[in-house]
Amino acid sequence: MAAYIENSSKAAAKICFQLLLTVCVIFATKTSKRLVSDDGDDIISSLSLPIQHSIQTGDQLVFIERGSLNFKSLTHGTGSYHQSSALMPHESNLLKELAASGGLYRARVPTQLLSLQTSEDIGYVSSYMKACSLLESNMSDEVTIHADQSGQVLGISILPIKGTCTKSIDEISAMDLTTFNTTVTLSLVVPGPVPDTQAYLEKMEEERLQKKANGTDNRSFFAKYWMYIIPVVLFLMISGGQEQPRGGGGGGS
Amino acid sequence: MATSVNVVKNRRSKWVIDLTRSKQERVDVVSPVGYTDRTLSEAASQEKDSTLVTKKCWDIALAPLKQLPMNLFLMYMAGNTISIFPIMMVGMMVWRPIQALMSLKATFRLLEGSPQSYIQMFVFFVSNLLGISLALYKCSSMGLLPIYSSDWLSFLEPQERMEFSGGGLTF
Amino acid sequence: MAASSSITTVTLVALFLAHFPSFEALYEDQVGKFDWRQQYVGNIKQCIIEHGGTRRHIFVSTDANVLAGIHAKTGNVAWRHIFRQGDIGVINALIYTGQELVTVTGNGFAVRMWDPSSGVLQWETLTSQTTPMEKSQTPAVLKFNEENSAKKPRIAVTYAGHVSVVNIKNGEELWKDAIPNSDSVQDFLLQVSTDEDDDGVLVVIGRVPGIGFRVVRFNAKDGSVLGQTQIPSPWVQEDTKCITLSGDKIVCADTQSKSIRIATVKPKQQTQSGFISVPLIKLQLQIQDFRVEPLEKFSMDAGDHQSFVLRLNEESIAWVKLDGDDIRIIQNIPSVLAHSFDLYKEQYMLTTASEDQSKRFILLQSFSKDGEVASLKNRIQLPTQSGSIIMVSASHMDKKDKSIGSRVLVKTSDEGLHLIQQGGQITWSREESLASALSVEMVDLPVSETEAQFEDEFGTKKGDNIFSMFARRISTQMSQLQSYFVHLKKKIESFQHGGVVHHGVDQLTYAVQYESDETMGEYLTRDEFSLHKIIIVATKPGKVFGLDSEDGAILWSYFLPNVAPIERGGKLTLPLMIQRTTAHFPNPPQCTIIAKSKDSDKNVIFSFNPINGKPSLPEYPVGQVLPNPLRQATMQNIVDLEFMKVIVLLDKDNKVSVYPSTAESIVAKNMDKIYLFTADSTSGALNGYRLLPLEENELLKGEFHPIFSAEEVWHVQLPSLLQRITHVVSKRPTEEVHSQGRVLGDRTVLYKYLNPNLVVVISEGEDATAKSHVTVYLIDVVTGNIVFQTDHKRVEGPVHVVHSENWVVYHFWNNRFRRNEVTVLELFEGKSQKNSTAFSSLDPPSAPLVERQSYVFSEALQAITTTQTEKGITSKHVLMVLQSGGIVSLPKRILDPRRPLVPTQQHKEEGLIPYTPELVVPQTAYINYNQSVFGVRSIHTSPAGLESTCLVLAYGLDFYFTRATPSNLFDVLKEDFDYLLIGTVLIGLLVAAIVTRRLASMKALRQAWQ
Repeated sequence: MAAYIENSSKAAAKICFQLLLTVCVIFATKTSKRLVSDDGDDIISSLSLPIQHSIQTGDQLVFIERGSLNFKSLTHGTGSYHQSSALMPHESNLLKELAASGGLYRARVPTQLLSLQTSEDIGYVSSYMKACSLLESNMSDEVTIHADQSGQVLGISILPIKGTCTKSIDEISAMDLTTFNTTVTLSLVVPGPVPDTQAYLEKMEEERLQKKANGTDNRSFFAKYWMYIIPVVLFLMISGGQEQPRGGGGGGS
Repeated sequence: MATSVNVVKNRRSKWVIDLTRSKQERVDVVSPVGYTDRTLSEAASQEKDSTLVTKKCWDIALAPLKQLPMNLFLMYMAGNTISIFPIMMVGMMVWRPIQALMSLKATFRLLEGSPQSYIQMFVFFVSNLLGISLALYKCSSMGLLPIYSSDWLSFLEPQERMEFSGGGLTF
Repeated sequence: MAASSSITTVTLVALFLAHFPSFEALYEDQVGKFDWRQQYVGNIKQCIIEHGGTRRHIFVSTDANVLAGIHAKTGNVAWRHIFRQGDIGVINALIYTGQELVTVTGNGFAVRMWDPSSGVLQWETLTSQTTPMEKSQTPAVLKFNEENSAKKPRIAVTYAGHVSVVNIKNGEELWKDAIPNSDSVQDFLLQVSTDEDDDGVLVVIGRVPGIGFRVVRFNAKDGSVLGQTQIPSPWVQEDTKCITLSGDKIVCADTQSKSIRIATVKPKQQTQSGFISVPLIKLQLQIQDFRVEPLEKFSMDAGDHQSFVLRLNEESIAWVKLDGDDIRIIQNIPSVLAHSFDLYKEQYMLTTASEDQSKRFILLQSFSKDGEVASLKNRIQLPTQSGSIIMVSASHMDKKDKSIGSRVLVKTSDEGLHLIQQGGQITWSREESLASALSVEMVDLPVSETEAQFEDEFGTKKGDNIFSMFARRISTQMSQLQSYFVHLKKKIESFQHGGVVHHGVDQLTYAVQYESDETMGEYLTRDEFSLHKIIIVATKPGKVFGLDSEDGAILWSYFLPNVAPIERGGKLTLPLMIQRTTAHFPNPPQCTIIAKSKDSDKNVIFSFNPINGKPSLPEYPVGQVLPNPLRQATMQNIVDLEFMKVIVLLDKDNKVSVYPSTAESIVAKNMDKIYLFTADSTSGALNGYRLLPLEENELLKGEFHPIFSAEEVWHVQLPSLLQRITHVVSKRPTEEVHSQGRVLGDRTVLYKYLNPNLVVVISEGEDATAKSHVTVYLIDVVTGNIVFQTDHKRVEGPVHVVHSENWVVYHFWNNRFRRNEVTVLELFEGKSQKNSTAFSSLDPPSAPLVERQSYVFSEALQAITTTQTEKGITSKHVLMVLQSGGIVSLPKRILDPRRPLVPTQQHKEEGLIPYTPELVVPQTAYINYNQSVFGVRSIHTSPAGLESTCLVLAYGLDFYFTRATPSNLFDVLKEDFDYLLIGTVLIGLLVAAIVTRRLASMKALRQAWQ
């Protein structure tokens, strides 16, 4: 009997393992499609966007590669950030300069919507935050990509964890800035509300049925007549005790 | 002479009580009720005095505490709505301990005779505080105490605007 | 003693009673006291003065698709019909036969006949069974008499390649035929003629640009095709003006060869000849540019005249007649502003309006074909601020003494109408530009002199010692006392007269007339509750009005002749900003308009004083032209030293200048706090900018030199292939929010997300599956962060939006369920506030909770807005102007997204109404009782001095002004408050108390002495 059970459990384990294996194989072979596809009818199941940033002071804006944002699926939720390379020292110095001068740290992400019109350049959506607040929050920021249902990027928002700027120049120059600690979220267009006629009609139906069914009043005796019992008890108590000279109890609760 | 004296006496009798009438018309003066013609021992009254005094003082000290159950019951009867009787009840419940606390000095003088006066004072003080806290509890269950953030909402100033923006569709 | 005390009491009571302000509480039985309605018709296109029947009316058809009959004597609208907006309702032709009034609308789709005196529809005929097309060509319309009998009037209309003939007497469609070979025809001309058998023939001439004319002849009675010919004429272009004349003639103006081309349309037997060219040099006229125009637009010239009008050089006209193959001038009138022809005793009379030599008067002249009729020559002076004459319509008739008389209706470039009777007097004027009002603002009146002095007394002037301040105070109070006595006297007088009459209204121009300047000054002072305001209206032709909010009379008007509205997102707008109110005595108030110049693509900025309508800078009476065309202009809440709000101008080169230029230093100080944004409706791009100082070498000198450059800091791209941005709605900057959160049932607070930089962007269009689609985005315009986005599928516009405090309400048509819906979005921060003292978009609270709900609404809307009060304490009501003409005020509590389906105890504590999917409009919510308003463009609300009252103005074709009290009049005593009773009782009791106290003490004393 025990042997039989052992055998069957072994067989079950084998089957489970095989199942797991096939599932893994299926997942491994699933290709992740990229954003830039020729025909917009592809069902985009995952998204990978390169993100660039500008950390230089001065009039000319130079955007350099920062990393990439990856989303597993096109639903509301978090994604992951992969930094292409750690910040070089000269870049880190530029960032410190930017923070000291109160400049803006900008980030941008390509969007296909613009490039559909001007077929030459890639269009970008961009946003910014104060560079000193980026340092204040120790290189941790939150990036949110706003997209519509088909996966086209509409906007980007980049916000620091701490929005104030309190560090002094010495503290800034002493900081070691190499990697970004970024939380990435994807926010999609939410379907708009519709007047909830279904639920309302159901509620009305329920109420109607309830009213029909519930004609009887089946509470306990005390629940029905407590209003008359309590004053009698009170009266007895008051007339009995003589330490209770105060009368005039108020209305019921 | 006697008549003039009598007349004088009669006219004056409205206002004057003649205590100096020592004519000894009545020898036997009835003794008051309960009066026994004997001397009392001194020692026993001393003891009885001190225990009585302590007892009396404890009575005074514990009086507010004894009122607490009655107040509790009153509170329950008064209910949680805001109408004239509950407010009156609560007002009374708050005012009496406060009055008692204000007359703390006078009570202390009363309790001075007892040996445990400090303890009794303390007990008196604490029981009055308990009374006040009971009244406050009643206030809070009626919703009168500003302990929620929504009570301080109207004191919040509008947020200062740090950035100014403007624009719209392009011309 | 008692007597004197009673006298003092009586005088006190009398003084007390005399000080009552007149009450302005609105009761249902006081309709008409605090609200007024005005009805307009719009910019007229065509105008006919009734010459048959009672001769009482003037019929007009306007740009706003309105057909109206105006009383000729008074200028009031007798009757009015408003057709649908857009091409479907455009009125192409208005024809008056003497007994019937016929209109052709919808580019030939519908022919209707109206009773001229009452405007009642007599019959309607549709020329097509299918639904009207949106974009179609202008139809050709011709009224003719069949068999030349006045008892058989007919009208022929072309529509969608067909020609229909309708009997005017009963509306019966006599026949309808397709016009053969009408594919590449650009437009048609109609003509009647007779053929050899004396049958009536309707000739349809189609013009094909570059090729020629295709002529089709139909039998006028039954529509059978009699023949087709072609007249090749390769010189015919798209814009060549051609007309038809009696006698089978076609006349065209060939501007290239500077000649008139004449052709005769031959009947089928004869061969068709081409056009004969008559060079105009023969006429010995100086001609650069010319046009031909018929004498009457929609009928053949009567009596075989074969005459038409040559309009030369846009200045002069020549009345010419065809003489065989030649043309002969009947009258040549140089420098004419406008002209018109009408029939008088079967003869044509020409009426012209031209400028006088002195340029101050307008000369009206009448000509018959024999020459000028001297008795009808008139010199008139149009009211100032009217602009120049652009259209004239005249009617000649016999006066009582059998001499010829005329009535002339004149339209000026400010879209105003003036009727001029015999003798050169203007009988009445109508300001029709108000029908195209684009922006409205309400301005407080200034405080009275004495109160201003009062303010002045506390003015900080250094060097004043205490004695001079004291002396000034005494003098101020003496003058206040004086003015009070005068005021009291006036009040007593007005009591005797029965009611206060502040001003009369000029019956001609609806302008306000004052008895004297003093009364004007006194009338235009702020009343106690600041309910009397001046309404500033900026209109499309560039005319600015100041209306009195009490009765809508025009206090002043100002015309800017070379100014056009700015087009934004497909809509015309005229930004009107109040830079300084009347609250800062002695600085005068100032309003500014930004417009486009008519001549170039530059922008014009014009400032004026809203109380008296005079320009703020007298050296620029028509505004200043800005050197660079603008992309954006916004007014910020930053004030300079003289309390003037600053307008920041962003031009096409991304350079920023500041108006007034004296505020540059203040703006430079606040430079890093100011952000601008632009939204492009077609490309769907939103850009945000911040201000940076300009380099030294780029600074230019002169007025409006740019002092900052705008650097793009964020960019958001909305899908634009199939959708376009239609609304960008931000909150009103002067709005006050009273409480920072909502109190829930368990006494915690749900804090509101009050982002002052939040903007609602709505894009309408189609989605990928070709179904209509509306998307709503809430965008913070300082960082470009899309706070919330939601979309509605199978939903169509027009979307009406209201954005206020922390909520957004919008209304649209749901195509899937075929119903109107209203959706509410409300934003909350949560149970705790990140920063309760300041809101910074650069350090914002976390993403807000968006509560949303949607309801079914039964009506379509014309406009929507919310009430606004001074401190924001009064509950808000959403005002909706329904398509059916009513204005409805719905409490915001009904439009609450937290309304639960099944309410719990907590919800009941909070006071939430249970959710019902339908939004029912109660009958008591209508604030305009029976004064329906149509053609409303928008609705504007403004806070009054009273916290409970909000002033509401709906404007468009109809103007309606009223007061809205969302929480009822909680801060004013009710009107029948019993002052007398309470006063007497109080005083009586006081007196009784004193007397009895006296008596009691006397009695006690007497008792003690016994």
